[in-house]
Amino acid sequence: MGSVNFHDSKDPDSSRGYLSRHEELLQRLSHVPIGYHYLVIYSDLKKMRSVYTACIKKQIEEQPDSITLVFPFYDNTKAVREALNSEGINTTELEKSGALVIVDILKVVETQYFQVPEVERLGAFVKQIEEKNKDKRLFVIADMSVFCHLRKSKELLEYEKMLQNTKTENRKELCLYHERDLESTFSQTEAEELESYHRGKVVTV
Amino acid sequence: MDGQNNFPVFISVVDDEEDLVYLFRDALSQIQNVRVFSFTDPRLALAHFQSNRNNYRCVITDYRMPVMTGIELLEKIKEINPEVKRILISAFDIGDEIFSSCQCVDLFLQKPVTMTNLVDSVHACTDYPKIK
Repeated sequence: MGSVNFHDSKDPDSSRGYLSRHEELLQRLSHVPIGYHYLVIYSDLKKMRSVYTACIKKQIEEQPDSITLVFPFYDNTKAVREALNSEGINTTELEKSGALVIVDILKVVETQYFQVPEVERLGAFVKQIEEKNKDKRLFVIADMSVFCHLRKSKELLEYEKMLQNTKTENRKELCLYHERDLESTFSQTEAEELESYHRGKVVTV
Repeated sequence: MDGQNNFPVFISVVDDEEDLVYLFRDALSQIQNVRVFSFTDPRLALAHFQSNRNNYRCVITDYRMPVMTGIELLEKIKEINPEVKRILISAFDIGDEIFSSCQCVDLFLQKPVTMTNLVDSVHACTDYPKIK
């Protein structure tokens, strides 16, 4: 899959020249603007954790009134809390106040609560939270590898195509995929199609 | 038993978390006459098993992994050599319906797993002496 080159000559950080490429990518992902929807391809669990801990930490620091929704798949929710706590994020307090929501994505997708197809249940869950918090911005990080696990690649592509035209003015999203799942689940044509639904916002970490 | 012929038997550990798989490998290497192979990719674990099916004694695998779940891996392992012991480890709750439908897991261990518990479990599963 193609990846976006984030190197920006006007960026003050690049003039320092001390950040590794990975750190630079994390900085960029931590500053994804509202309304944007990024595809993040990770090669291993450590990289995945570095993405969500850096992005969530930045989000909570800079926009404490927002709501962060984390939907892990390969990490269980306890591991996510431990990773965030180790970065000084008080997950207990944040979850209690509703500013942080951590749910195993498989549970969301498999629940019968939303009377919609499996691939639409995550969207339905997020929409429900959005409607209850109309004055707040949402930051969604979801490990979409779950759909590879469920062998729902075709349905996922159809859903992503439908989402292209959905306005997300109060929301920004990171869709995470393990690179091995992408390679084994999607053909080259399908991978390019998936990338196109993220309007070229693809990052490989 | 194979170990009594002094040819080491094989055990593999499969987990997409690299640090953990090496930790398990080092702990299991204490078992006498055993060669421990570690994999973060279940496809590679399966390929190695296929090539060495008669040398294997036990396969230990995580459940949720990219490309192939631990249960899918153990189902294929069982098809190739049903005599090999199959241990599933997971940090997630695995529904009874999954276990009852697969019939391919000899032992389930819930993470976090201590190294002592892991070694004891493999020992119990394989009747293998523990310490070198």
